[in-house]
Amino acid sequence: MFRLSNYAAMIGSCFMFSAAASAIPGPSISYGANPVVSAGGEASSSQTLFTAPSSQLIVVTDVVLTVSGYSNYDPCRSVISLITSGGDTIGSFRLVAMDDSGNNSYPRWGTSNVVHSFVSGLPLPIGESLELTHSGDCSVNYTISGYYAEP
Amino acid sequence: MLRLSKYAALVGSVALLGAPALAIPGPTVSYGANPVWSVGGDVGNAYAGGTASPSISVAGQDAVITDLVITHGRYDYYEFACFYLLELSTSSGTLAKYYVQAESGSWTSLAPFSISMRSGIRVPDGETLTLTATGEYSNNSSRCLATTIHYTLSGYYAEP
Repeated sequence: MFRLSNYAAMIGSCFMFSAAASAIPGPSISYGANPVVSAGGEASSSQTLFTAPSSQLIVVTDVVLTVSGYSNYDPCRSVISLITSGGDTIGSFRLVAMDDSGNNSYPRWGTSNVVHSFVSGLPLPIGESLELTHSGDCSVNYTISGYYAEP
Repeated sequence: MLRLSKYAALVGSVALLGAPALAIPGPTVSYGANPVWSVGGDVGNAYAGGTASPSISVAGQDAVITDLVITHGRYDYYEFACFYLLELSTSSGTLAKYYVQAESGSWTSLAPFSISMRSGIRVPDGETLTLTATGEYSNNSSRCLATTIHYTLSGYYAEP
């Protein structure tokens, strides 16, 4: 005779085995230590942010770029690029800042700060370094963070 | 005595009660490696049909775009505004269109255009993504011609 517990087992097991994967599967993390990595500072023309070890890649999840350096009437303009040591550009951002708020006819001001958390991220392949390059006349401060993940 | 079927019922029920609710079932990922990708670059000549074709394709996989960060920067001390239409397309047609403003006056913003999408935009296997920028409006279009739009795209590979 098929008992109630058998039905329950069957129904429960169906749910167990049919559980859907999450919408965006995250990479596996088995770093054996805190997997978070970050770097910050004022951007010079070129700086190395971090290097992925031989067994792990780094996924950049957060990019914050704040910009200043304007003078009246004349905005500053900069380009920030994130380039792997393998030569791939994995991020590119154009920045401006200006303040002409004292202009009585056309008062205007603003900065193009970048504050973005990526759903997927910017992957830095195993063994490669991530370079942040800066060209232009703005002063740019950066905070870049991510985590170590299995390749 | 607790029989095997009862254990199964118990385990199954726990799975049932503990299963997370998912609004959007995700695509299947079986890339055999970390499926995350990203690419950055620029679209020059942005007011006159400039294009870029970032290399994101991998054979046998769809590329799903989840993040799009568009920055722009031409600005001078005049009160000129440049509005652009940025289109993402493949040979199959348009995937997405966005209005992007590339200069600031008192009536616009310098803020980047950035979005994170829960499901994303699917670029089918075997198709090439193209970004095309065209001028939509300006009060002085000649001042917009030199504009370059910079992009950062991020996503993951999934089975078609």
